[in-house]
Amino acid sequence: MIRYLLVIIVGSLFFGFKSEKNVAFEVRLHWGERQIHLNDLIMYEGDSIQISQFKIYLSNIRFLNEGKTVYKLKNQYHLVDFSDESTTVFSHNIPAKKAYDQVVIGIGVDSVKSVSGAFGGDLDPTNGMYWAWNSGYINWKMEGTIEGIPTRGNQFQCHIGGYQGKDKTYHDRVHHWEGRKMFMVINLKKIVPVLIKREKYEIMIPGENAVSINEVMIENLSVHE
Amino acid sequence: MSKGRVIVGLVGLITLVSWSLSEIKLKYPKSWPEPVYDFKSNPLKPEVVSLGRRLFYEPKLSRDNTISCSSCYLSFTSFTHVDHELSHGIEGKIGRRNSPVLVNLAWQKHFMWDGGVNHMDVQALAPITNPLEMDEVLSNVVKKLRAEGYADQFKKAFGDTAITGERILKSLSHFQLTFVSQNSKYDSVMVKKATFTGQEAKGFELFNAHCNRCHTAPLFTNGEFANNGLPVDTFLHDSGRYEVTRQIEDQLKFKVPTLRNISFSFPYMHDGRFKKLYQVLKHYQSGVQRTNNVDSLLVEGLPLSNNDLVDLIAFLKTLDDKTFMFNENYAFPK
Repeated sequence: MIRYLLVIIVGSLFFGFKSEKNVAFEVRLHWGERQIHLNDLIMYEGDSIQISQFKIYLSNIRFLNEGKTVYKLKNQYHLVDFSDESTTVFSHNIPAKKAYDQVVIGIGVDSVKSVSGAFGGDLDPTNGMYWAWNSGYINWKMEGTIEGIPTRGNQFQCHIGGYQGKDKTYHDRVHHWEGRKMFMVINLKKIVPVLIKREKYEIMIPGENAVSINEVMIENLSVHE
Repeated sequence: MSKGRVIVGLVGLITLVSWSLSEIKLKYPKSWPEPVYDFKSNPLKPEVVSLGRRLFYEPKLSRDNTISCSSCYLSFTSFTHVDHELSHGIEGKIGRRNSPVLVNLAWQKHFMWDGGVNHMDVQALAPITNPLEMDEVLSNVVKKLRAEGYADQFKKAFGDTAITGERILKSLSHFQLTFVSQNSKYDSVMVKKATFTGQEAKGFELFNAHCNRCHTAPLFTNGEFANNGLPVDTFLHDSGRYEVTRQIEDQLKFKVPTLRNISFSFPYMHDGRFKKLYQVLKHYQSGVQRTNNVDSLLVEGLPLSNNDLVDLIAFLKTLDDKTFMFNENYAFPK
């Protein structure tokens, strides 16, 4: 009898009092106010635009209270790939008893991970988000067509990454959090026209152009509850 | 506690102990520095190394299934493509650079002539995907290996049959990390089990005075990048390290290669322009181009007589390690 009681007490210490809260994240692409999907036909100043691919890494999610990290998700790297809708929604369990008022979401893959070799899962190089000739992850990738641009098949490609010094494109987004589901919205209406204006249709290496368009993307990535 | 649980616990413990006992430890002289590769986090397992060996000789890694890693890296020539100035790829394509020797990779922090690859575990991705080399996509290699019946070998190596990009790259890396050359005449002399001839000893003295700063013993490279004053090949227009960093000071810098097994790895330099060691030394003696960032030791050319060059070559030949080249563990798996 005593043995069973002991098992129950020890068991509750490990499991019984450990209540968890599920936190959900959803990532969406928008053209202004309108949610869009890959290959939707978008009209912009009389020309048609189509986004054929959009992938982005979200990582190092941590929960804060009064500026201090209270809980950090360990080794979590999410590859959000809009060609697979299931990857645009994900959730995590976090301890329910603690108080939180902010969430930090890393956009991209941090420099430590970028210099530490090969990884599996969402970080597996088979996902096409790793540069072979100049090691490092592609933090986000956008491809598509813009009618009338002077490229083969009117195609544009942004492969944005870089983890060293001034080429760094990883960014921590801090969000004041009320505890509800989080929606991350990337407004392409503010990003694609910048490519057109600057006539930068192929950004495939780390450097000035990548950093600059990354800043535009970060500015137009908003987090809502 | 039930008997069943005790048995499960014991089996688990035995598995854990046997797993850790089956680790491969690299053998190298005590005087060597610690490897750069983190073996504590990624110990070498015989099953993974064995899978890597099979993959190293597997032509399915290339788009048209015609070339394998071993096509350019032959074990009996110190893992390089001997007598080829530039690496060859599929469909007879010719690359931009000479294949470097795969020797003592566990001590390297940068890979490729321009140092573009930052970790041994991701190095193989470069030749697999380069359009002038294997021109394949890693996800396609996964599919081909699955169709080829590799699942069992992945299970032996990693515990389950999943074939992933990470596992392919790590297996290839771990096989190549076992390539340790440490049994040359030079090594025997250092532990007083052999002696240099008079000419070799004179060459060693010259080497220490003029070459060791970059080709630092015992690895015979300092692992850094340098502009050694080669005239630019106007066909290749290869600016080396600059192509990776885009820093002007890195123009025409290439990784300092190891000199171990040097007499077997001709032709020399990043573009294989010199067939003979004598030509290499002649360049350092009198052929250096004085560009802005040429290495400071080389600006005036090395003060060596032609006789000195011959002595230096005699010393360099003491870095040959035949036991490395004829090591059956590196050869095509039977």
